[in-house]
Amino acid sequence: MSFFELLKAELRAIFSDKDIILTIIGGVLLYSFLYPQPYLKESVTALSVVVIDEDKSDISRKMVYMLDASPQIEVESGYMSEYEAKEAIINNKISAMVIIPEHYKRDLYLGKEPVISVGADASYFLIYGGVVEGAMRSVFTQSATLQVGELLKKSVPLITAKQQYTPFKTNFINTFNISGSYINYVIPAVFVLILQQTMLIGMAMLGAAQLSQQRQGKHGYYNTQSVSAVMAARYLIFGFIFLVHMLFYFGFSFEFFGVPHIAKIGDLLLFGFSFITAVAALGLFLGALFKERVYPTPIILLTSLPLVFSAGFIWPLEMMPEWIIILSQLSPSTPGIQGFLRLNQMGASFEQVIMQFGTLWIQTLLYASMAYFLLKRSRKAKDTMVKSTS
Amino acid sequence: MNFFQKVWSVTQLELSTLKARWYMRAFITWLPLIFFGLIITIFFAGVPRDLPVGVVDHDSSQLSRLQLSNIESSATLRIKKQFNDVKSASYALRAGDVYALVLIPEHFEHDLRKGMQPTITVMLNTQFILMSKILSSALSQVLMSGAATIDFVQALAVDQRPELAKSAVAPIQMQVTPFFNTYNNYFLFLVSAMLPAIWSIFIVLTMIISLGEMFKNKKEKLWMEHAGGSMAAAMMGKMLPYLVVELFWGLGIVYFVYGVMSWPFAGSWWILMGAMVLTIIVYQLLAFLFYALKFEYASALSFGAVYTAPAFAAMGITFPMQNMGSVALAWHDLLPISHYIHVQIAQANYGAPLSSVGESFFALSLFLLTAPLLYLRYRSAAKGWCA
Repeated sequence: MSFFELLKAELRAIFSDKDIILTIIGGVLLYSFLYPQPYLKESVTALSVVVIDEDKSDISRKMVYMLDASPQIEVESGYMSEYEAKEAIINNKISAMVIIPEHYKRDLYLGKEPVISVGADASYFLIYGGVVEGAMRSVFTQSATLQVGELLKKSVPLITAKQQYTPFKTNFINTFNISGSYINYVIPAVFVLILQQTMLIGMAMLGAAQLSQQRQGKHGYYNTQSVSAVMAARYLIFGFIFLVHMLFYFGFSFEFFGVPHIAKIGDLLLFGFSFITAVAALGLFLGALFKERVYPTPIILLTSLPLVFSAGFIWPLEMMPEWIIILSQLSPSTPGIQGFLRLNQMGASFEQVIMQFGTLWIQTLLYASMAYFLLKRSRKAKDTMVKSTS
Repeated sequence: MNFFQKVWSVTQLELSTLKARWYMRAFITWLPLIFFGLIITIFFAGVPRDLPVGVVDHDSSQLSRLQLSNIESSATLRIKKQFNDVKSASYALRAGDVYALVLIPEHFEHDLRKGMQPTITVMLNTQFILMSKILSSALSQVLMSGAATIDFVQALAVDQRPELAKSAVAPIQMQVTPFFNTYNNYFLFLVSAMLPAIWSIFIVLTMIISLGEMFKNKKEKLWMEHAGGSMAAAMMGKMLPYLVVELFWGLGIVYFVYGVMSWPFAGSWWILMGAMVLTIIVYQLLAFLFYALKFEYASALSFGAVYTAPAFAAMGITFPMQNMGSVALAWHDLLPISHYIHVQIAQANYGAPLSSVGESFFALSLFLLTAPLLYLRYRSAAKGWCA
């Protein structure tokens, strides 16, 4: 059998297995559409908030307008008591309440520091953060406006008054994901994991299925051809399919969902090629490890959540125990996610991801040699079995 | 044999299979322990501390150093490195070595003393949204209180009366009351939802594996014999042992979060347990459904995997449902665990009455409508096995 015929046999084996196709084509396509859906609105806006204005002065009304004007908050019309507002938060009718106290205006002009209370549901982190941010801005703006007004009354010139309400200004700049969009946050990382998990399931299922056939004494290209040739063919076919998937995800899907991508194409291809190679090596290893095709899927499925959350883009690595970080380095998705995010979202240069790049190649070496060893051993076991029976 | 005896007989058959097969046992014993444990370990710290920040101090004056020492003394922040120029600092930001940069301009102290209002620039790595929010609020707090100190000192220098100096600084105070997660702890926020998501995967997997291993070993005829020919008894008897085990795990993870970690639990354990039982049964039925699509072990696993894998994303915990589109909402509604998690939050955080979680219970119950269809499908398929 020539190597070209081996490639054809491998292709036939993949495409005649509907379960593999369901995962490596169906799953990949479905998730490319489905996974970004929850985040399509990108960021949290217009959370409904009830303002309880117990002062009803011109200044307190101005505060209500300012709250309504902030992008995160939409002030609900209609009166509610504090108790009713809390009930409404529990029933998910509103997200938060803001209470402007009685004598707000009077206290302000007496220099008595009135307190505006914000109550928000902290069970949902983004809702809570959005309301607090919007309220904080409004309070700060009114605070500053009133102070400038006070200074003006003391016949301080406007320019000086504007400068004096705070000794120095702070300017917060968002870098990389400027809009703070959730889709840009989740998708570039999760897509890397989806590529890995679907590729691993496909490769491991095929490998395990052929091993179980070999144990039943069957013959096929997978045990008549040399171990290294079968490994090379599998790597080439799956590698090619997933390189196409990767280009589809990082090219078409990113473009479609408006996710920024700023890596140099050469850097991205080199890193992507290394990532896919490492995943392929792990896939070959898992395919040689599992005895039947039904065993890999559950385990690979279960690892998904721990892998996403130990990759360091949601929860800081600094907060995890050392052994979790070491363990997570066994999966190509960890250096993969870290490298892709740095290159494609944060604009790092290639030498800044050299650690991740190196890790991927160490994984490749490790898993490919273990796969080779396991496959060799499985054939020897079969040969001795055949000899002993004959 | 009456119906209950048939169910019990099937359950006993399942138990003896479990006894013999370590692989099936793994999914109800040490595998859940490992995966729940991993998630708990990752988030165990709960509140981020000492997040690395880079600084560029172009002034290196007494007042600029005061700002830096304020940053250093914040529990959330840690100055990892002081850079000489913006270029090398932003290089580190790109590499992810630091999560934020604080840039203090030249003549900072000079401008302050002249009342010329210099600007401190903070660059946040907003690619990591959750971390950047934590950093943003910590840094603005530190810098605002730094500004207030300077302001106070300045006002005092002019006026000499501290009470007056103080009220000229910040006339409005803001008091924030976080309801229901008073500690703003991420362990409670993320882990209490993530564990049920993994739990739902386990429910589906164990049921598919139980069916799959049975068909693989050609024990379906034995199954029907134990059920005395009743498909309803056969299905119930197979579900029963896993219902008990998964209820144990479901209660276990909730007990861990609210009992062992002692986060407040305001509501009724009975309502939550009711939702748990319903969720388990619904997911078990879905496992039967995935199996019935092709009556093939590996296919059922693939369907189950594609369906349960993204459960956490669609739950509406990390990203609020109020801001989801219709496709996302439909997907959210099609996952039983989303309805379960609403009950859990309503019970644990709000102590809500049964009436306010009625909607979630109703949504979960709708999935039960698959039961009669599955019963018919399996009964007609069984004719083939017993022939």
